[in-house]
Amino acid sequence: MNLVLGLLSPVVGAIVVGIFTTWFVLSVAAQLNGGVHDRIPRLSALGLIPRWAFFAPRPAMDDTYLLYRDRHDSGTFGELRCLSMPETRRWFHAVWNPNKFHSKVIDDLMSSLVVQKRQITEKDFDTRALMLTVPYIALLHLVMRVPHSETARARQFVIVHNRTYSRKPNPVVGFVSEFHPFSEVV
Amino acid sequence: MYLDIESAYQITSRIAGIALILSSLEEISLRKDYMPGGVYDLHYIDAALRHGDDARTRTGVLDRSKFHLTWPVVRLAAALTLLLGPNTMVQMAVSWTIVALTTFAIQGRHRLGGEDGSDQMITILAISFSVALIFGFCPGVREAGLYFIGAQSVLAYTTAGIAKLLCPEWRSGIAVCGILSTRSHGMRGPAEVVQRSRALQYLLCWCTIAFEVAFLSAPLLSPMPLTALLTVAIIFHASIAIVMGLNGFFWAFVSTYPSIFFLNEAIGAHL
Repeated sequence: MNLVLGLLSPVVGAIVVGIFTTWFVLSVAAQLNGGVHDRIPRLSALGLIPRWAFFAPRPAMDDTYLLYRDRHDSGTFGELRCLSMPETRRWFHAVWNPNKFHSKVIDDLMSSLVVQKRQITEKDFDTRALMLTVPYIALLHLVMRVPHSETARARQFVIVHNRTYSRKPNPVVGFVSEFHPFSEVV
Repeated sequence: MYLDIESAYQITSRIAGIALILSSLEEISLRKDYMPGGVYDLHYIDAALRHGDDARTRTGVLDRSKFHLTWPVVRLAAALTLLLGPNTMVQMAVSWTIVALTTFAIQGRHRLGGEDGSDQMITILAISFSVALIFGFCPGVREAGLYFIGAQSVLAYTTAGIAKLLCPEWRSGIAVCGILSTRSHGMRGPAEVVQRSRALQYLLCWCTIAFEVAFLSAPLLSPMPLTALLTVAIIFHASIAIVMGLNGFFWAFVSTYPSIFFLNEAIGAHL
């Protein structure tokens, strides 16, 4: 047994060291070429091939707000309501900040939606294909689960960007969805 | 040698243990959002898409509602052993393997997003340490695990620095001011101070770029400059935690510093 282990351990060691080396080379390549992530989607999805460009190349200099409004059976529109608002910074966020997750999800979904929209345009697909993408459905799900009045028939979501603490706040509409009837949503 | 291999693993494990405890507790606090009917109930998304893929399979196996509490609690227990345990090589191998498996399980429910760079570093740390410690009986594997993490950390800072250097918003000095002006990653008081001074905006952007790019030299620096660089990095992460609320980065990245020391030592010995 010891003899087998003695013979095998250098071979296994070399394989493991080789795996670490390959992993690091792939990580470096992924920083230089974004296409690497697309070629190894499983490893990328598991977070094993990192993206280390924190707040770069273009830093997020806006807050992303997810809003929604209802269309009533009379044909009138309800007012725009904000679904999620990032928390105001508190001292304990330096240690405990679970709610940062919620604004990151909205940011990630919005970024993903922009990418999907660009791809659909580039491939000359029907623009309605965007409604079949994960970020669109996820954002729709987030707003649709909010209770609605009896007269409300459909709901749309709106993404607004704003530099909240700027001296000159300038809200910009980033995306406006279709109206979706309540009954048709799973 | 000022840091032996066992100490490097032990120190890293204790610091990363804090990151894992905080992250696991935050996961536990969010569990209702993932439960059936919760904000991020992935079954709605999968049902709407009505097609099979890997992620959906993972949801089926790993994301059952009874596991929403189990995975983070098991990871919390493993993290506690890393922080408070004796941290023998065997115990660390077991603890890191549990952390790696539970981290993958928890990731399955983050398909919509929400993870940040600290989660990436912890995932990479967990997998590489569990592999390096399980196969630690093979020659060179434990060392390779530390070199790998040290190199990933250097890569992380350097990539971030170079990406900022290539970005007009960072070079022109408006990036930090812009980030601080958001409610998500900013703070009203510091934002107002920075908004008043163009020179301060420029200084903050270029200091961030210079400090991050300087990490490229970390494997080659002599002990004093390296210690100074890592001290600046600790202050940088502490200020980011306070001002930006990114609490995970501090512990996740500081936990890689013993590996940077170890990598630096090994390269120094060969030069």
